[in-house]
Amino acid sequence: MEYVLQAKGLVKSYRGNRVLNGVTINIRRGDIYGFVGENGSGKTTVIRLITGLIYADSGEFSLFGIKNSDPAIRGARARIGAIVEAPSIYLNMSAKDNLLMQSGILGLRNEEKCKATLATVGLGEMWESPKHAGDFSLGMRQRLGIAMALLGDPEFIILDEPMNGLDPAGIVEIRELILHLNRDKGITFLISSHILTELALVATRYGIISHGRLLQEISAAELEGVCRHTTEIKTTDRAALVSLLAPDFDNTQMFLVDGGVRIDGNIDLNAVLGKIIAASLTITAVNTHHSSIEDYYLSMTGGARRA
Amino acid sequence: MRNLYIADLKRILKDKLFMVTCILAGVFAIINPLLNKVLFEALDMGDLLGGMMNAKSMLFTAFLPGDNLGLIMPILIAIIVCKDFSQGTVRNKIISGKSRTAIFLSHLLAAATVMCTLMLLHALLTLGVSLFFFPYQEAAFTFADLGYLMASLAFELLVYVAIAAIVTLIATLAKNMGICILLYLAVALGFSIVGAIFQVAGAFLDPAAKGYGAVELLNALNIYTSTLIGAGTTYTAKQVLYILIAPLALTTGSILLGISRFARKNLK
Repeated sequence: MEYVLQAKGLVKSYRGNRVLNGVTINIRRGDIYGFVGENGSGKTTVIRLITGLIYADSGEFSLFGIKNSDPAIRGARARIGAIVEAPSIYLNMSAKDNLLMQSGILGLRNEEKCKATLATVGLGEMWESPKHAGDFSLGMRQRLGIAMALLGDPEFIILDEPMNGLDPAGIVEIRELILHLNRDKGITFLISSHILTELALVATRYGIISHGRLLQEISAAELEGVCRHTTEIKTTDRAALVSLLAPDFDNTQMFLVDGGVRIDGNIDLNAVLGKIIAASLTITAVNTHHSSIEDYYLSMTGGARRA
Repeated sequence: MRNLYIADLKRILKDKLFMVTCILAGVFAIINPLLNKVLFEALDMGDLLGGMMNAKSMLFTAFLPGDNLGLIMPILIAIIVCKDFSQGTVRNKIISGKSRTAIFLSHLLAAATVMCTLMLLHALLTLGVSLFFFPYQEAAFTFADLGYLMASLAFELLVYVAIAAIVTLIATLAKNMGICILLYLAVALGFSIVGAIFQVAGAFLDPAAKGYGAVELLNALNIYTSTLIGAGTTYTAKQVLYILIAPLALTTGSILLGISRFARKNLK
């Protein structure tokens, strides 16, 4: 298994206030890693550590196999693109000048590439516009920031709250862009987001962080498995209902509730209801429930209301 | 490093504050000689013009770091340098794998390039305007004067390299435009005021008096009030040493302090 990022025991304090408390993260090549946590949980601090903006008090990480203590880490960083908190753009410059500036810093000086990258994020029409980035909407700034992060052909892109300020159409565009870059170019992503349902549409793996500690890393497939589908069926005769369904569902799947049963997991509801009707039992209620990533997150973090 | 330097230079040149600085440089270069001419004529001191006021003195007054453009320009350049931190664009450089030392040095080089160029143009424009009203100096201009002038300009630029280093250090440590302005004003005005006190003391002290040497040395070392550059017609070895010590020490000190502090600084 090839890892793009591996971090172990990262600890960071600001003025005696411990923000990270031994965070461990593993991001595999090709992952779209959804980084989930409440405000102040330490997501951005982890991102700042990885990008070299701050230094860890203890713990270590490696980028593309190069440890953070190795001077070659700067070379590894050149293989990443990132937006940390807000897009790092020159507000007094146009979109074109911003990209040319970043291209110059990277030593590329390739105007055609800058133009193409701007078009990739849906800002192609801004290439010739003299409008300054300071006059852009939040969404346009976000896209420009992503374009700047893409300029160096990164293998690993870190996006801190990339959907912030985007309108619904913009969210769809950025989501499509992330999926396209991941599938077609093999770019690995680390995305922190408060919009968990949005994250669920792209993430292949999740890291759940709370109070400076990584609680769990879980793949999207595993999460799908643990996010419970439940169906509650109530009839006028609970005992008869239990006897009828007992051959199909064992006691790890079917549970007694007031006036009926609750069945966990995916079931063929039409078939079950058909069987009940065929047995001449009177159905009084049918409720289905699917717990989401949000429910799972809340259960993991002890019910913190804000992610 | 070269890429960073070019990017920083472009960033400064594209900033509106740079345009403001250029306008101020032009305005001060025209107004200062004009005001002096009007003032001296109003005071009916025309006869003294040749001795007290000439284009040469106007040229070197234009370089004073505690006055006019010399005071305002470093603040404006500090704001522009500081924007790299306050707008978060310095993150692009770090994430791109650039070293913090290279980032600091590129800020300094870009600031020094812009400050020295603007200051030189401002001073030369001041000289040009002054020559309309005053003679260059009382005595005829000789080839030796040209050598002295070139050496003096080089020394003045060295002073502005030191100021650029101080400005970069402050901008890097403060990372906030407001604090940056206050800190630079505190440094510039502090040194100017203290320097003025020592200058007065130096003027009134008997050269044979105890402590005169120390006052003379402090006056020479204070780049904000030093009058050694351009004040005569030749430089003694002692004067050259005095002129060089402070800018070189300040530049080196600011670079070393800036690099060491920036190397471990947490950035937003």
